[in-house]
Amino acid sequence: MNQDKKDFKPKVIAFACHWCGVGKNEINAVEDFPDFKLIKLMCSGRINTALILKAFEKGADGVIAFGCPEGKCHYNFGSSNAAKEYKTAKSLIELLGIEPERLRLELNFFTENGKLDKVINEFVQGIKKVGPSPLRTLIEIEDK
Amino acid sequence: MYRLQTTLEKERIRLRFPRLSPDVHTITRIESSACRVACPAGVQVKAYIGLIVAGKFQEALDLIKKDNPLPGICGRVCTHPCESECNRRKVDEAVAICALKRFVADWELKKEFKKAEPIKRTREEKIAVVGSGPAGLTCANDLIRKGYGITIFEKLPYAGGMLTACIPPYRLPRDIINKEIEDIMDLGVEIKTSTRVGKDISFDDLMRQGYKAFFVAIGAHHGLKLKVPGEDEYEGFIDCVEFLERTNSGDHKKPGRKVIIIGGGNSAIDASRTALRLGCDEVYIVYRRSRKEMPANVSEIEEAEKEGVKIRYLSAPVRILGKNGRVTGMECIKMRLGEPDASGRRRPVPLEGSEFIIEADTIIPAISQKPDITFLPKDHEFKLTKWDTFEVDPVTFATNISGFFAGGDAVSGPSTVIDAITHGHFAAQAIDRYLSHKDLKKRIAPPAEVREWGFRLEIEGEKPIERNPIPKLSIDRRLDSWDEVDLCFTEEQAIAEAKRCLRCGPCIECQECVSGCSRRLVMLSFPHKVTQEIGRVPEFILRVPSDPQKLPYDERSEEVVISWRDEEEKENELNLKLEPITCFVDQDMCRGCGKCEKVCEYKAVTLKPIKDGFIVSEVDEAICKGCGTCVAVCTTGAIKARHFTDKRIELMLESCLDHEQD
Repeated sequence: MNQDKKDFKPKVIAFACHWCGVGKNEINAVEDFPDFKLIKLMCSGRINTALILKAFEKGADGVIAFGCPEGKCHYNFGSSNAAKEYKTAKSLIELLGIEPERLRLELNFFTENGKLDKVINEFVQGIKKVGPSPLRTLIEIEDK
Repeated sequence: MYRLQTTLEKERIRLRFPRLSPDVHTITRIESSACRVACPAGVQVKAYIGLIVAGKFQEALDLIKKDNPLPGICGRVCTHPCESECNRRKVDEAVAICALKRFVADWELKKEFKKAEPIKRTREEKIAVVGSGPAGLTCANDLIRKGYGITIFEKLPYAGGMLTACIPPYRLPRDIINKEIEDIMDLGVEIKTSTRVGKDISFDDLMRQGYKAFFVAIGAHHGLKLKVPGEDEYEGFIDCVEFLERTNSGDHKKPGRKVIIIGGGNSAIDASRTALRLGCDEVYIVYRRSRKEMPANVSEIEEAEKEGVKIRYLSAPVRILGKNGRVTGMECIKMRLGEPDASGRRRPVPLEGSEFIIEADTIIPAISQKPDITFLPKDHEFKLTKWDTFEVDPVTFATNISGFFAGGDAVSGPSTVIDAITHGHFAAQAIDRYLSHKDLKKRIAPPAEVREWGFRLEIEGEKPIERNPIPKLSIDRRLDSWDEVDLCFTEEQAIAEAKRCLRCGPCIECQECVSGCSRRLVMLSFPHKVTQEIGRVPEFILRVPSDPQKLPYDERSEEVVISWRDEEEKENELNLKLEPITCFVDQDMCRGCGKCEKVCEYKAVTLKPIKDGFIVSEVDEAICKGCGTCVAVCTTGAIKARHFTDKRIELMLESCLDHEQD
């Protein structure tokens, strides 16, 4: 397990809202974090509990969602919807035995240079600390 | 040369199904013009010349400043490698690129310009730049724009390094240097003059004060010795740099009556013309090769000769003659040119028995300089070359000590302003990456290489147009003043000269289309790799399962490269509906109210008349981003979006987390 942790490359799924500025910084961020997979959605409101759980089921070590601050959503109610779904998902994954650090919702504007990098870095470091997802190891055992 | 493409190509690095997100169209440039490739700093020469033709001087200046923060200085003293590569030379003479750059820089001075606002500090780290020459200034300019705190330390009581110390004011007026330095200081750069790092303040002190990175750009101010007999015996020797520094700081004392300057670079010419202005009766330049090999700018040599400098080509000093402790003359020997040496120039060989004597009371060697490294403590750990220059990584300009970067003449030995600017740019990129704890070498563009061109330039039938001569101050007004000799083009002359540009390739890269498009539909990217073009969008990689019916993909799935058209067939085969997420209009239901046209952020929706006087809206799917705003406002429900279905997002998730890809 210790060896695993050393060269552990976390698989991180990021759901990104089109309007919060992740789009502008994405190329920079993705080149620096090759294990960081961005799935662009039009609004963070599209995210739902099922999607988040699906990502963990498929073997993601962490899921981070980006969206505009609440009340500043391009479609008015998208961000609050995301926050609600996030809350449900968080309590559900805890029940399933997945560490709560693996899920994060970041409702903010990312137009500032370096801000996105900082958030991603912090998140990836946090996941590196907790190690591979318990579900991922399960999948690997099944594969064998 | 240029092609329209979408940003999909960039996105494929992380999206397995790039077609799902149509995006901004970009115009990608495949090749650069020769002048831009020739410029070490990669200034967009063709672009600003095109903008001058259009009369957009401010835009031209802004574009130059992106790659060169010192346009007024470079417009006067640059060695303009761009002009030597200019394709116009195949027709007649090169375009006067350097003079045009100077024209736009001077044009700004004539009008009222706004002072730049200080850049908001976004980074905690402070960076110390040692030396305020072109390399240091460029590095400071680049880093302050990234939000760092910058302090420049300068040994001399004035900023500018060699620019101020050594280039005489008749070539580079002091107010131009001061203006460009002030421009950089306006951004928030602090310059501490008369502060010698290593003597007045040590590196350790600076580190304690919180400086996290250092850029050492001290230049090369220490003149080399001639190494001929008699050099140390007699009085009457002044080092070229010392002489110019003394004169430029206001000491206008005549060095002597008859002066010999040894060397063929720009400093030798500067020293000779300065000596003439100080009132010396006879000024000689002794150079060991012929005029063709002389490194100084051709126009400088011409002007020096016009002013009365006597240049002795193919001559080298043998012995210094003296009497009563003072120099009385120099014995020289004639040379002939032999085989080319390592630098590609022909090596001079002495001709036996051809010695001759030049009488003089002052000798100014201007053969070369090396960095003055006495500021370093004796037990320093820097790796230096045998010429006392810093040994650095050629791409990142990092020295062997972590956190210390070096550039400019301190690395290359005496070189040009534009080279120093290039060093500053590269070092700034590397310092930014160093302080962000990123891999230093990654994503730093390698220096451009002159490549074979992909298109044929039509020069046949191109009529020769005479190059506009650069206006000069008349000779009789030069020697008793320090007024600038080269004068500026008038607006008409500049436009006429810029029109001589052949515009190698259709797009001039001025990027006006980018700033002109209010909806940000145009982007210009400069890839270093050229990819192949297939179909409407660039090719990309789609993982195709070996058994189309079986999802998710198994280990037998193979990666195939397919184009847009192939993909459609494949999708039908696979029964995967992977359409771009765009909106479409059911034109039978649309009643042409125009609401969608108003709300569209991307101008993708337009109203179009159809027969019988009806108007319906239409969505350009190439521009549409599928944001769904139009769907929300449509009162009749005629606009529908092909949305992100669960199935599709699951597919995307799966491709992202595919274990086989590791």
